[in-house]
Amino acid sequence: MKSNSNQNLSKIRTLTTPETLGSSFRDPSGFLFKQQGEIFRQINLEYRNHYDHLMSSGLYQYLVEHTLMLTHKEIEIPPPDPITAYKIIKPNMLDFVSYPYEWCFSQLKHAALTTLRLQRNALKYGMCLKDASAYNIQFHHGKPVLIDSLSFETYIPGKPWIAYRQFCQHFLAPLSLAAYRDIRLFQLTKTFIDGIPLDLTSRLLPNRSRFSVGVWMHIHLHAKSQQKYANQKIKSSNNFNLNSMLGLIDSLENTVNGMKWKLIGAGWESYYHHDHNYSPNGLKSKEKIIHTWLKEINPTLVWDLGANTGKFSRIASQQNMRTLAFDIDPAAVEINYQQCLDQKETYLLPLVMDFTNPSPALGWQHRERLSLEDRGPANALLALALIHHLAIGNNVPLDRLAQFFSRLGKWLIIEFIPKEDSQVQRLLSYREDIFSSYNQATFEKIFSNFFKIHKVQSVHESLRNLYLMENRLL
Amino acid sequence: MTIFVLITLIPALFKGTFNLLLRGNEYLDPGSGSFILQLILASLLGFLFILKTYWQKLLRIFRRLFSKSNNEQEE
Repeated sequence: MKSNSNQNLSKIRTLTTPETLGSSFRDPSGFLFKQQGEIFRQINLEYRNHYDHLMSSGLYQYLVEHTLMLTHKEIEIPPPDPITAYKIIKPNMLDFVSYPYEWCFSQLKHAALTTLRLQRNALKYGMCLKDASAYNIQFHHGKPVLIDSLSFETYIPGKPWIAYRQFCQHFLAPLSLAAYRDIRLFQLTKTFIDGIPLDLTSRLLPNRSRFSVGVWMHIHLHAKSQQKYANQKIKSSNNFNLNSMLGLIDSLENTVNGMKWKLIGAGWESYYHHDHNYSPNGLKSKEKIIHTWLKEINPTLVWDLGANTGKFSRIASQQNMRTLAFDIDPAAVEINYQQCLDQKETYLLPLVMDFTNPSPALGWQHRERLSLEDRGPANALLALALIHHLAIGNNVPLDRLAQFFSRLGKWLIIEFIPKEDSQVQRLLSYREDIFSSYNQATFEKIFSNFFKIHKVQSVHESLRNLYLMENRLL
Repeated sequence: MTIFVLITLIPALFKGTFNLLLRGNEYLDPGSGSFILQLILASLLGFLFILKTYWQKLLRIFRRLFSKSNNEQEE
């Protein structure tokens, strides 16, 4: 009885006591905290002048009007740390927090250009971006926006850009590695969460990258300068005037704009033309079933796991359901993102994700960057033409698959593809068939332990079946 | 041919001078190196930015002049 009441007390405490977010500890200007499921930010007294300048100069207004920054409102609640507190603000909620290692090439490029635009506009209002972390940019309703209201400080003429190193490590390094070497090097941002070291970037880049003045100056020369002037005290200098600062921003902008990742010629062309084995009738029937079921369950947030270029994700996003379209292939995500831009889609966010190794928790105490699972659950999951890749391509037993999906979302629309299907046959063509339990009956039995199966429908002119399931645990 | 030699040699000489200035192999301290690089490049960046700004202004004036004369012709 006593232990029960203790548990209840601790539950109440976690609901009402503010909990500082694990990623919010570096900047002494303030911190984020969670209270009753909502996110707030405490602004500390030491940041008071900078914050007042941001709000009174018109910079905040300008950035919000031009969708460069997430809005916030000042609110009156008791601060978690009253001694240091100046104000509490409540930022507009994001649907999902994504990380640079989950972005495609153009997403990182657009986030970089947004950061430079923020810096150029801040200078117009007598402020300067003190932080150029890629993690401060999030895709909100289709656009990259700054989410950290404490990123600005009053501009001191003559002082170089404090965030220059960070900008180069977080943006230029991965972009240049992808443009000149290989898109898969983007994954280095997962290992180096404060950006890829420039000496490493310089060593990995091919010599031809030195022919780009921007890459040579901001990566190769920058890396050399870091080695040469290591541990050297910096004398105060008024040498870096506003024109030099604007020249630096201009040069970085030209360098970022010059970065291109070509799908064609890089070995990704075959992914471009997504081959599937549906007849036109089969494809129509699959779309219709998914459309009807989504309408019935009416989820607010949908995760499409293995979305390719987002054909089926759009069934959800076009019904104004916030949708994340995950795919392992950076080329598919790139195509999907370009389509989102062309069609001005605001309900769909394509992201790179390998479900055999989903994004882990990273950083200090494993709490700076959340794992994929910690950022869920979604209201609905789409797992279409996916499980044969995980069960046969990656040897994951069906019960573990069911368990994994049950942790990610409430509703599940899943497609079962039998062994007789040509796509599964292709997976089995070069290996021994050790998957005796991979069949429809076992699939239904195992998934029933975690989900209640509401509906089953076969896809016309195919061997495939679609299931609508509801999580028993969530 | 001369243009080709100039195009390839000038950046190489420019890069060589900077490489000599920055030669060293100490322990990494990314902060100071980034600051000092900006100070080294300050004049060049500032100069290029002013040049670009004036060039754009000049282009704008020319565009206005030409569009005016075109409009007059049309009238």
